[in-house]
Amino acid sequence: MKTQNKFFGIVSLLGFLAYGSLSAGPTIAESKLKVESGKMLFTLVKTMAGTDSKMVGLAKQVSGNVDMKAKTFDFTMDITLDSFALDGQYKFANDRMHETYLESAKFATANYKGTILSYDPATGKAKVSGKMTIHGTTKDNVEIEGVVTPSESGSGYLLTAGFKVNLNDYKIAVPDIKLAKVSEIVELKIKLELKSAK
Amino acid sequence: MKKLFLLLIITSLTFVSAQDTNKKPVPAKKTVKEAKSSKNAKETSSPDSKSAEDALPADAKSTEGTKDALPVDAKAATEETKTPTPETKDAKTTVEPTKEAEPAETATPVSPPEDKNKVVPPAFKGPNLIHMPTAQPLQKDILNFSFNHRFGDAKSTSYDFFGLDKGANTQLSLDYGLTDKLSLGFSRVNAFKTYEARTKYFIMPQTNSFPVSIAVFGSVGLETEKQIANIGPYILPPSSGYPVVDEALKKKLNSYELSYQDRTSYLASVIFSRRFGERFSLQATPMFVHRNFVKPGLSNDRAGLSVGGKVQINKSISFLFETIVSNKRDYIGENYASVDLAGYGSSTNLTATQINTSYYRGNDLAYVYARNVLFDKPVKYYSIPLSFGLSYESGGHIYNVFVTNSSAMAHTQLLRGGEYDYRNREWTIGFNINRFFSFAKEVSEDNF
Repeated sequence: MKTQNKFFGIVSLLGFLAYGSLSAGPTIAESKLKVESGKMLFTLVKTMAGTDSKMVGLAKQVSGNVDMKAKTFDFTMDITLDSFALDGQYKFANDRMHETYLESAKFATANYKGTILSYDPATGKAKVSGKMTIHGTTKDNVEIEGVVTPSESGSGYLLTAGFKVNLNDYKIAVPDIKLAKVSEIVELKIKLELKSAK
Repeated sequence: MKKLFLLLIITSLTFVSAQDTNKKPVPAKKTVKEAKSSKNAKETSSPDSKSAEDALPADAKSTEGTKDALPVDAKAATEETKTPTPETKDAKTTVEPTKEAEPAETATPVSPPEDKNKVVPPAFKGPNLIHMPTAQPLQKDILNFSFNHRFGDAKSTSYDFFGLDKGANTQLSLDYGLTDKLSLGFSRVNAFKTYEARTKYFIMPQTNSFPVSIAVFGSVGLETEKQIANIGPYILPPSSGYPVVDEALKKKLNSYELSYQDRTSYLASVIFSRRFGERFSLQATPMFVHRNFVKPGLSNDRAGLSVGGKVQINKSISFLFETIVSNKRDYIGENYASVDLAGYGSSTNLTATQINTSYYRGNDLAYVYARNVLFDKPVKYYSIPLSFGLSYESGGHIYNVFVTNSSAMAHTQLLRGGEYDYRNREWTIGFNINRFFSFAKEVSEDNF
């Protein structure tokens, strides 16, 4: 299952990279950008009786800032019940996920603060390294690679990135269900609309 | 029992207040601490990313640690105070080093203001408590199948295997979330072969500024079991000579078969639930029931109040309790308690109503006196439902197992009272199993 996860991750990452290499990335003129709107998709794989099913959810309340001059990138996600919710066939487990596993009442936000290591305007590829805080636990040197493209509206940029999070790194208990196994690797995909902060 | 219950409430309330005072960390201090540690982390980690940082402007490098070290608010403040710098076409070009970020480090970080509209996590996780539903709505496109049992009287304990030998009152129900707030449900209960349609609408959640979650719940129950009510005074028609006709006539004159209309009852309730801290939740549900037909001497309308609560023991197990109080409950028996008059040469049982209203008039005064006064026992009523037990929940199931004195499950029948009396060591075991199915559309991974 883990290999499958990795496979998915690699495929999605390759997909992003391929997408990025096909379309030339924009030159970011503004020194400061903020996240106008954003979405984050998370996927967990649950294996039961040999078949995999995906627990998929969506976060809608995300905020963040990008400072091209200072080369900083920070991204905050509000993990209250509304903004980070399981959907699909495991929607009913949403409350339990928040209360038992994410402990959203205690740890209301997850964030990522990093430094932009590289940005290539030719391809739009960006690489960020920084610390990620989830569930009150911080992990340093988390690298995220993403692709920046001009947004459809034309006035901003669209940042897409895919990365993985191991629940054990953030002291989030992996659901221990009889007859089923839930993967400790969560795949995350973000889509951020960046607009000039001014 | 009353004292015990009061004690329970008092202890749980003190527990909660103690918890509340223990809570409230100081966020401001935490951020400072975090900031410091992150600063250290940054400094130690910088050699690794040295080569990558070469492209960075000098000021970015120098202020980076301090910028990161600042809590969000303070950082925003520094960004506001920053003098506007000319925009650069290429981010890689170096800019003159600036020191704007410096003063902010000395500024004391302000703790973020508590969001007043922030929704408090639900008081109860499942849509049902022991008897009444919780305020928690069933989310959109979620189907809840619940399978509830109340076994027989467990007074004889192991002889009847705690009431399991005596058969059970069973409820099968389906509820579906039409929206995130509105759900519709349907159920079938063994007792009186009852069908029930119910709906719940979630009005508002408990937030940091609003103390309770509110929902309204309504149900309509239809008892499809044939029910015949005896009506007095007893009329003996003159014989027609045909026994079949006589029997039919007697039945027609002295009893009444309830119509579907009569066997329908309605319930309206408002559910208030509140979560106190992390472990304790309480719920109060004022309710009103109208029954189209009731036993003589009772009102068709009845109001009651269900009070229930939950104490979370660990992540999956919690202790539940619920009671339903009302100013009046039904009396036991079809009519008022029947009186045994064997000593007076009559095998027919008279009801208290008949006695009290002198429906039966004997031939001699002593007889009438005996029936009306001596045997006029106080009427026995059903007991106040009081249930307590444990709840176990996994993501897709909620199992509640409890001890109760009421085997009623259709919501409109709850206010009749419990059949079993704890004072006579009568009790029963019950369970509710909720299984959830989701029909929600999955977010597409490619185009989310």
